Amino acid sequence: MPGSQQVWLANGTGVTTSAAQTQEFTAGSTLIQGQPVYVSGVYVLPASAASGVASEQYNVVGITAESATTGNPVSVNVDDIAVISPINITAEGSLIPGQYYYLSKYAGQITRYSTTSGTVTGASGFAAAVCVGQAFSSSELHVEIDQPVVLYP
Amino acid sequence: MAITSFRAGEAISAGQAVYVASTGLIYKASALTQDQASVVGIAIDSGVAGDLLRVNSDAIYTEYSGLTPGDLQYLSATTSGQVVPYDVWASGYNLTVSGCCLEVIGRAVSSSGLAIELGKPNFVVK
Repeated sequence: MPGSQQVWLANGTGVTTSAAQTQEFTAGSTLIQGQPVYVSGVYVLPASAASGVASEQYNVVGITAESATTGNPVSVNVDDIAVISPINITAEGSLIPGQYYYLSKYAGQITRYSTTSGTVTGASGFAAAVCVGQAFSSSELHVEIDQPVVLYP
Repeated sequence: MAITSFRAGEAISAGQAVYVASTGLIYKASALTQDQASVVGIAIDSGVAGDLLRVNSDAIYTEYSGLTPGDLQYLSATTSGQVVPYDVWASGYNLTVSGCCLEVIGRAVSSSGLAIELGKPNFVVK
């Protein structure tokens, strides 16, 4: 409507909503911002794709949006732009824009497919290849979590 | 977040698929290499090199025309930045010498709307 004409919904007032892209969980351990995490019950813990881990550990639910200590609420980014610090990245000091990133075999980290630390393969100690998103800048990851692809040595 | 701002590395038109280079600049996506086919979204704005442009990465882009609702759309095999249905991609693939990437951009929800759901490029060898 032009000008300042208010329009009211038949079943309520002019409420706007937007789809949520973060979810609140309880930290199952000390977490830092930017860590990939998996959910176990109501708790989230650092995710890992290392060989031998239980499969729940590489079912990434999102990237932590903040730091938290055990037992406290933590917001997890499930489908948004996540800030990633160097400590969250395996073998490299920053993200490379345009590159896809995977869950690392080191808990709470992400990695490119191939780095000096190895490749995301069974032979390099990975249980699964889990793409978690694409770098939009040297510190920002567009979170888009794929289903795990189980790997065999 | 579905809308992100990037700085253009070349002239880009609204509606074109773009990729982000290691420099952080965006360019029109190309199906010839996996890096250049790693689409980050559809440009909302037109601009020239150096301009800040908004890019739609994960929402419905509504400025196309002639789409068939329900059809998947792909990065063109022959024209940088262009979004095409599968039969057009396949025709372009046949013109390549050694193959090119098949990159899903999204699914048409109307004649003008594309629900962007980016795939990962798969290089199809000839």
